[in-house]
Amino acid sequence: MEHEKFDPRSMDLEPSRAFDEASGLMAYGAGLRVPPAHLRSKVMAAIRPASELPLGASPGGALWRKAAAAAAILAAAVALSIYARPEGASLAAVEGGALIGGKPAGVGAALPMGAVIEVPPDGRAVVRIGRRAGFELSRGARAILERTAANAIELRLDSGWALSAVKTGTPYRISTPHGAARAVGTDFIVKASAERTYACICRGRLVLTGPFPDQTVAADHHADFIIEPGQAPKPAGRWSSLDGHRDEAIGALRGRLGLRP
Amino acid sequence: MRRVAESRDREAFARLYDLYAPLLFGLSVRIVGHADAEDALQEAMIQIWERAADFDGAKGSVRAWLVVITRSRCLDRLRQKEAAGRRQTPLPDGEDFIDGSAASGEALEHREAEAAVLEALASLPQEQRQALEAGYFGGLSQSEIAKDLGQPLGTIKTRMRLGMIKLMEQLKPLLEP
Repeated sequence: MEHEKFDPRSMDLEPSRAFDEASGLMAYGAGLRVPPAHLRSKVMAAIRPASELPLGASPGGALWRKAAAAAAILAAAVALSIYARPEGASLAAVEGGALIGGKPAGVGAALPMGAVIEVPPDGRAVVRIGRRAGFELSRGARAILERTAANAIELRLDSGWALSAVKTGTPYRISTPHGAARAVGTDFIVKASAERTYACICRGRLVLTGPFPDQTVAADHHADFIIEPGQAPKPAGRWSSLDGHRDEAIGALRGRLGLRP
Repeated sequence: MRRVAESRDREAFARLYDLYAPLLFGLSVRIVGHADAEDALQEAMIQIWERAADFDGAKGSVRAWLVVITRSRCLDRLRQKEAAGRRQTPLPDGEDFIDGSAASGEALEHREAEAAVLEALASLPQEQRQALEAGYFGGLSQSEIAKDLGQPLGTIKTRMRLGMIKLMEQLKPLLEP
């Protein structure tokens, strides 16, 4: 087994299985961290039988990774359909049309894990997830609902707006290309675009994660932040807007989901 | 693991990922930082898939093998970034750990192992822990650690040796046969 520079001989110890196993256990010293749900999809889309490796590519090599990345979008749909688990997510309301997996979907339609849901720029769709959470997509939102390895719900929001209502203690988060917002029992909205992600905690607590130290934010009445590529969250400033998440919108969403205020 | 190696069983590989991803992602974040951790883990998982036939259960556990590959890929990345200056990645708090409400047997085992290892590491004298962590998570050689800490090489070697012996002793209940 390869051991980089962390080798028993360098410590005047006999190579042993006990050393190898203890080294393996030391990884726990870094702390357990749940990877984003989309990473599972990417990994599953990227793996191929050895016989399908491109000519001249070594396993895990750059050429193979590029080929895998190019195929990822198409293959992800296949992989997700294979590994999807039954969940209780369904459309609770639709205005202006909604697509699930590219096909028109109406109220009551199931939203399978891993399926893409899209709404038009002037449409909206409310999705109920069991009895503990739900969200409303609008402004041309495109998103994928997934379940993480730790059984948490993750909405991967590529673009558009997602207003969420979540019961306390429900493992739920929204990730965007710039970071993720994890609910700690809250109402919150995330608006994603290529340039930035806007997140507003309307009530409760939210943990913002990404390529920056985690930030826990709490508010009784709307506190908003902007996350730009590679940067830490900062107050929304000129981007601040209650559009799409005023109290009445939250109340309406909770009503549709059957969640108490 | 056997099904992955012999049958190229994607479903078995998915379960392997689900089981170990929190451990391996935590390790990746610690070594290369949040920004590179996803790519590092993806690279490691692809290698694990491709090299599954190399795994030998007689030599060590699945966990140890997965950790070795992931750590190697992370340290490769770390070295590539050394031109821009070595950095120690701070351990962010409040990250999305395995959720207590999703208390599967595996999650519970992960939790227990994490607590035991953290306790074992915390029980080491600070200088032993520092040297071990610099070697393990930082990928530094003993000479580099000695230079960084301004200590003689022999001192670092002794600290790591004693620390590792104590760690193996404390983690004995968790060691897979």
